[in-house]
Amino acid sequence: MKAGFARVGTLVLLILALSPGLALAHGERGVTVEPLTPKPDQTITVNGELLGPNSEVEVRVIGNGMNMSLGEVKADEEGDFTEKFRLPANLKPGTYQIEATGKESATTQITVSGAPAGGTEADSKAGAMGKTPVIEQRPLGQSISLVALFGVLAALGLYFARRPVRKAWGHPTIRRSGMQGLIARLFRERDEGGVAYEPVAGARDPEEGEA
Amino acid sequence: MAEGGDSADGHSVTRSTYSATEAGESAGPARKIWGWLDDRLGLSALRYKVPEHANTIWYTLGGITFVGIIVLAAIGIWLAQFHDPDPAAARQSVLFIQNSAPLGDVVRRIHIWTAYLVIVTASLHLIRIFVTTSYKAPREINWIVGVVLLAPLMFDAFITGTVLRWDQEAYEALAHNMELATIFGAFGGFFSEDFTTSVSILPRLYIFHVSIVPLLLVFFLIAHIFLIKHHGISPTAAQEEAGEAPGGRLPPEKETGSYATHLRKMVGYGLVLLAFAGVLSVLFPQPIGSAPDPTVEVTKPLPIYYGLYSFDDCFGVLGILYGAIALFGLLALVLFIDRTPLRSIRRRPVMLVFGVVLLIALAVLSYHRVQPRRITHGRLGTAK
Repeated sequence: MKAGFARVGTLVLLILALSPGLALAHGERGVTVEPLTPKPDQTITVNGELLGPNSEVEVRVIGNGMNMSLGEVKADEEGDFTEKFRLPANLKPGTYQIEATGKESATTQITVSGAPAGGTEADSKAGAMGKTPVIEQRPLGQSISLVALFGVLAALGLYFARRPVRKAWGHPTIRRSGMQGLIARLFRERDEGGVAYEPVAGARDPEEGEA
Repeated sequence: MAEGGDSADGHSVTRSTYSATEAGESAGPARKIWGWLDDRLGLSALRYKVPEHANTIWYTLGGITFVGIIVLAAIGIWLAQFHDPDPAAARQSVLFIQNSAPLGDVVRRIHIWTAYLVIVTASLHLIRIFVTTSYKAPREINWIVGVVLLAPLMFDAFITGTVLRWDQEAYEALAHNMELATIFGAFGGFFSEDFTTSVSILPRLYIFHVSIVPLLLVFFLIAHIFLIKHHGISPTAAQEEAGEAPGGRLPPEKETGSYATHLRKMVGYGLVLLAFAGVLSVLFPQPIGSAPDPTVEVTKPLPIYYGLYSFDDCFGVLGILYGAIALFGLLALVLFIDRTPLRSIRRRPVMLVFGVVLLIALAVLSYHRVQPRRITHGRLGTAK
């Protein structure tokens, strides 16, 4: 029973703790724009909320050395409005602030990309923002070489993962040196043949280290 | 210095047992180097015992996934040297990686294919745990940690990784992200554009991709690996049902495998994974789409794990949320649905049906999503 009360109490506390955040999610002053990544000369829809009842709201685009009015709109009795504006055709690609100022003010951010919406086909195909990006293909010979290289890598990986350990490597009386010995010691496996090199006198073999 | 001790649970804890000096003056240089390194790094500690079956491919899937994540991080560091997250320059930098950066095209594609393959190996790892009942006591928390690990992994591949390409599909992924953020209200603020006007959403998602998600992965991976080490590799269902593993762990005398072997297989199969991603990257290059057009939605994502997006077709963007909640919720519920002491999947028909239905549902949804479609709308980036 106590546990039940505790759970309900925790839930109530959580809801109380989170409710201020939920309340903020609605009825906040603000402005939104769509689309968020318009092109120059494209029409955007600006939506403002709680910018002052019946106020005259001016919408401006600010950034990259530009501060230009897009137009004015009258807000309703709650200070809300939705209006379409056309972006200037000479906007450079980049990030801009859209500022709506009535009795209250709010801003949001857009990212202008590419050539003007009404650009020519040649414009749209050129450059990074083109409709058809230019992708350089590797020559066939290089591609075949790469596949072969990855094939070798896969074979090495498979050998490494599945290689049988020669019993001689793990025989306690046979000492190995050099790279072979190093590999044997690195991957010495109890289940594949015991110790790979001689233990120091008096020391316990880690593989036999159980008390 | 020659020490090998036992922990409280009776499992061996070994430390460096050999040193260059103790190995004798006649020791070769390789042995001396090894001894020197071993003394300082305690590499011998990796030779602890694990069950024999831990060195089968099925029990190595988690390790392969781990190696895949390391490969992703390493390749990501390379790509980060060329990627510019500024919205005005992002696309140009992606094209630079593709066309001009040293091996940029191959590295970029390997990064993408490795991400897909890591999702696949992580899913197979999850299926293996489900089938062998490794999520049962005392490993329930680790099952949850593993499910939680899958979330940032998929999020990085699903949304942030796609957005960074900054083409049409990227724009649509961003729009979905922002719509979801708006739905979350105050809690989605961090992901929404309204969170701050000082930094664009694209650089913030970039930070998420290269910094925040990897940090989350590291944190949960540490927890995951610690719990695996703490509980040991889980016994097989047969061993559990035969009563050979009291407390969910095989006794030391029955742990006859070596972790060194496990490590070697992890690395070896990890190399195979990398090579496979490399071959796929040459044979099936990941395209860079057209510049974003906000008035249309034409994305046709790859199958494999995009079944979640089918919910988008049915319920709108909220469907992705429903799909994610359904998937991760069901995975978490496994612990509560399966209360029997039985271990073998054949003796757990309810769980067998549960798993098969979930897999079929994902496959059908993925297939449905792969079908060509073209939706024209103008509401991307808003939530209604």
